[in-house]
Amino acid sequence: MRGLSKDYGKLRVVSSLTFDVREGELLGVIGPNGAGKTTLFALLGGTIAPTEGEIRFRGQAVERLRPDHRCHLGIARTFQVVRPFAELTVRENVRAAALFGKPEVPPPGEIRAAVEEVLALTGLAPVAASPARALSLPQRKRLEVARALATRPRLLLLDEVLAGLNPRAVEEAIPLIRSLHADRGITVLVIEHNLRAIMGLSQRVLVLNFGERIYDGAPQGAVEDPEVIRAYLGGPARA
Amino acid sequence: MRWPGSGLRVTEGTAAALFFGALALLPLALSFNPYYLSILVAALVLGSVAVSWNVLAGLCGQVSFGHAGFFGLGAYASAILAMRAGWSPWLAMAGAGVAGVAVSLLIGLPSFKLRGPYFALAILGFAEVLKLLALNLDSLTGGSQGIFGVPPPTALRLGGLTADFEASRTANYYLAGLLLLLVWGAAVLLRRSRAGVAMATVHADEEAAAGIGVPVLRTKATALAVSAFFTALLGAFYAHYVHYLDPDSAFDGAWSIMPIVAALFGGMSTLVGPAVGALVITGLDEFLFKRLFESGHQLFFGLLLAAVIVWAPSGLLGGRVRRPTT
Repeated sequence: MRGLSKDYGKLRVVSSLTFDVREGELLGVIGPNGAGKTTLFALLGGTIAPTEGEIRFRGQAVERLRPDHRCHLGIARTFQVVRPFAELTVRENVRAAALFGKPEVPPPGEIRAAVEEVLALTGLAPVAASPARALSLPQRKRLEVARALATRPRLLLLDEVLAGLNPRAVEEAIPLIRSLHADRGITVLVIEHNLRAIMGLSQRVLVLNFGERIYDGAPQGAVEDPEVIRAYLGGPARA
Repeated sequence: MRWPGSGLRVTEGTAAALFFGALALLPLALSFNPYYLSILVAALVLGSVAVSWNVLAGLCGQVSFGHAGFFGLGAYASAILAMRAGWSPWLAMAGAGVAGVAVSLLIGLPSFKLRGPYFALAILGFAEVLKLLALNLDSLTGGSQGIFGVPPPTALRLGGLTADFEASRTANYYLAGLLLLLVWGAAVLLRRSRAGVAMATVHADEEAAAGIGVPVLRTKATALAVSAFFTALLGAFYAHYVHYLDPDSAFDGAWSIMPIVAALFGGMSTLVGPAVGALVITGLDEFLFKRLFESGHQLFFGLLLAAVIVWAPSGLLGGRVRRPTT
């Protein structure tokens, strides 16, 4: 993406952000509250339109495409504040994503198989017949991932899927994210507050602060970067 | 409040089989009394409109306050097609449904494109605009005088049986019942279809639906078009049944409000619920409210609605008819 900006009124939430994601990469996006991480995902997913700048996905300009068209191209996101289809069962939630994720409708047998596979992978098979509203928060987070996966994405945007999970659940979730990336070749962007998790998970991290990129590189370098430390711990205001 | 036997839960199919079975036998129980049958025909028409309204609201989550517009449009379109263009009333009724679809897209596509309650607002005004058109396009609609002598549907002969819609209340009752069955059946098929899945996701969360690739605008437009088709079809039946149309009766605001009351009362999460609701509220109105208060009996619907919302928000059948799952 090139020179991407988003204004809310006079507030510039994402400011002239430029970065590339290589196919097959697992990129962590971190930054303090209000850094513009979720806004960045909303821009990529198409829920909001950028004020300026462009987003290219596999060579195609997508910044003016509707969210459903971006999904068809292969961009899928989870929502930080989970948004299950509450009255539908878990299986129906996943099935809807499998039915609509791509413009061509797969044959019913293929849909069924894909749905069961995603349910098994995300550990939701035992609760597949429950309505989504009955799920616990960790299960709802899994459902977000399951639904995004069922659309058969090339680029998966995971927005704080580990937040609010207890340490054991986090331990379980990390291998899942890693396997999506390694076994299925999905490019993954992860927003996370849990620094330990993201450092262990990503090959590269992007650090945002006040909508700007302040670091882009190896995870280990981020924790030693003076500007990143300042952004997280406070200290003298940046010019 | 707990209803007696509230642990009992049935499927949509069972509830519908019981309901339509009872409808088929009801005229026998009433010894074909024309007075009761005429009340029942009105209830069935309301029931069909309520089920149609609920295709949009219950399946797709889009609330319309202007279905009287589609109802009146269908009534006028069918009457005009039959009387001016010389179509058979049966064909004219189908044509009225198509007119309903065309006009629904005209109003739906632009207003669904905007986020927020624009559709609900637009359709409120739209019904009024159509009524004004019917009042003022004198050469086509007869203006405030209305249209007299709308022909009944031509008689049907099946073996030795003849359904004469001109003279027989019973024939009209069964036709209204079949129309209700048709609307309900279409709603069931729609809910099971891929489009029905899309409607359920849009109903639950538009943004999340778009995120998994659901075309939100097309989904809402489809729900509206189906809903408008059947509402206009029922308006057409009404025109050929009462033989007389004027703007005040065809576009009566009651055709917007009563389907909502019926659907809420019967249960919006079910497909047959709104039809059951229509029969119950019509019965209450005719045999209770009107006897208590000759004028102003409509007040009771407000009270009824308040009671339903407070004590049984999922309606009469909402908690008992299981939603089918896949």
